Amino acid sequence: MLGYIGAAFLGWSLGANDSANTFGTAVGARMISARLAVVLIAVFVIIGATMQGAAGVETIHQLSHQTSLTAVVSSFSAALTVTLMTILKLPVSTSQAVVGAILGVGLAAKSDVAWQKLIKIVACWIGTPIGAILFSFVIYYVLRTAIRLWRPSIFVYDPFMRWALIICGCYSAYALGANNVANVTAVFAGDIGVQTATILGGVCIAGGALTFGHTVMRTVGKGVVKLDAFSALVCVLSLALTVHVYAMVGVPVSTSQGIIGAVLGIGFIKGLQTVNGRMLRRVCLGWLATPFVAAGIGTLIFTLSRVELRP
Amino acid sequence: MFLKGRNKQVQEDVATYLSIARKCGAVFAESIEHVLTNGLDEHFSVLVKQVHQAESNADDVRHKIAISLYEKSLLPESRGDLLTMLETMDRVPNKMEGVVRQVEIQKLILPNFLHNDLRETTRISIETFNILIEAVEQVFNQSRGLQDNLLTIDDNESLCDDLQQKMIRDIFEQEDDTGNKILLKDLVDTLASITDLCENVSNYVTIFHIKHSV
Repeated sequence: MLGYIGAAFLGWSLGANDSANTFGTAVGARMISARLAVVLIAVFVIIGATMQGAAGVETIHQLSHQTSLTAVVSSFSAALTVTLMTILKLPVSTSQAVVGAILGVGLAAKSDVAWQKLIKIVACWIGTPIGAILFSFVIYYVLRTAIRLWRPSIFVYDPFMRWALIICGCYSAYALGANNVANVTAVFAGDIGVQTATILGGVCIAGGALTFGHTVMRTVGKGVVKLDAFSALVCVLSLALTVHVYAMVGVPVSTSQGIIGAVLGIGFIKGLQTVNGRMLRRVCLGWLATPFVAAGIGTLIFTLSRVELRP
Repeated sequence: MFLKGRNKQVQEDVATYLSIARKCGAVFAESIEHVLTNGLDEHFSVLVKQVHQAESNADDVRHKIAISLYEKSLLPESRGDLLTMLETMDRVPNKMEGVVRQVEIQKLILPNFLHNDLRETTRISIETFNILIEAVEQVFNQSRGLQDNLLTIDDNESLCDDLQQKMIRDIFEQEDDTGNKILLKDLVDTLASITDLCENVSNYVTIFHIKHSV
């Protein structure tokens, strides 16, 4: 029961935090209300998780052999890592926390670890910000050329951008569900089945978005709104495409790192002075530390769970 | 569809506003020409009323646009820029009304030596205002030729400044009552400020263009 609660908490916090990456720009720019945004996120996260979440669930499930105990400890350790990193105000990736915890518990339990899969996962982690940067480069120049050829009046351009941001936000929420559902329930896929795991995971993420998503989104949106509508659209679309590609590859990645990569891409185009170096260092620190912290916590909890107290 | 309808309404209102502003400029030019040719008469008072009416209509439409924008038409980043641009632009018809009101209320007799320069200043002011209206339409519709128009506005403002200085010098070189000289100087200053205001608006047009260029 503790493990399922840990997984539900993980899904809830993921939904509450990562919602801002999908609709934060549109909400921050007051193009859509936060309440409507979280409803759209909840719907599209569940659709994404159900339609394309299975590949990621299978990857994480096969990373290390899971018993009921290791599944519970892994899930709980990942949730604890996310909470700890959030308290320390370090940017945290739920995907990295889950994989780190599974690995830590797997090594402590002397289970077989699928190193090939781990290498693939780590490669995807490195590829997430790089992929988002590349996508934002390509999308920026393609969209800019198209709009310059189109030359719409402001009365056509503005509603177009509003709807484009809403549609891309929905796509981004779909990609979030498809990609990140594995973080929530993949460790239990052996017990409850892959399809059930995707549905339950999707519901947990949607619950987080519905209950706390709007609060986080308003906070994050105020920081992101400095982007103009065009740059915001490029960022959200780049994030959605990057995360969706990894969902199809079957590797859960961080949407926070995706959106930061996309914003960096815009920063490279518009001039490096727009990039906040201090924030970038914190992101890198969180990016490097999360899997190790999760692995450490996982190992510790699993070891403690095996200690027999004798009077 | 709802948003599209609201934006379409704003688009139509902006077009109406610009059309009224253009009409206000035309009536203003007619009233200055009339007073220079015929002096103060009843028809001039009628023309002053027409300038006032056009200015008042422009105010009403601008107010309607402001309400539509506050009801969340367009993107938030466009709303403020559009409102600032129209509010600054709206001061031009106010200034036109101010000029003809000054002549009417103060019963100014415009001396012959000023006629040519007043005609030329009025002509340049109206030309500048019409170019400004065209520039505003261009920036909204993303059509070409904006930069040329903005440069012309800048040049015309300099021309009007030169004419203003010349007229003030001419006024104070005359052996006339000092009070009358000051009244004429005030009139010249108000008239010349029309192109200054047009240049101010053109700066907002430039900023709007840069901010909304992809």
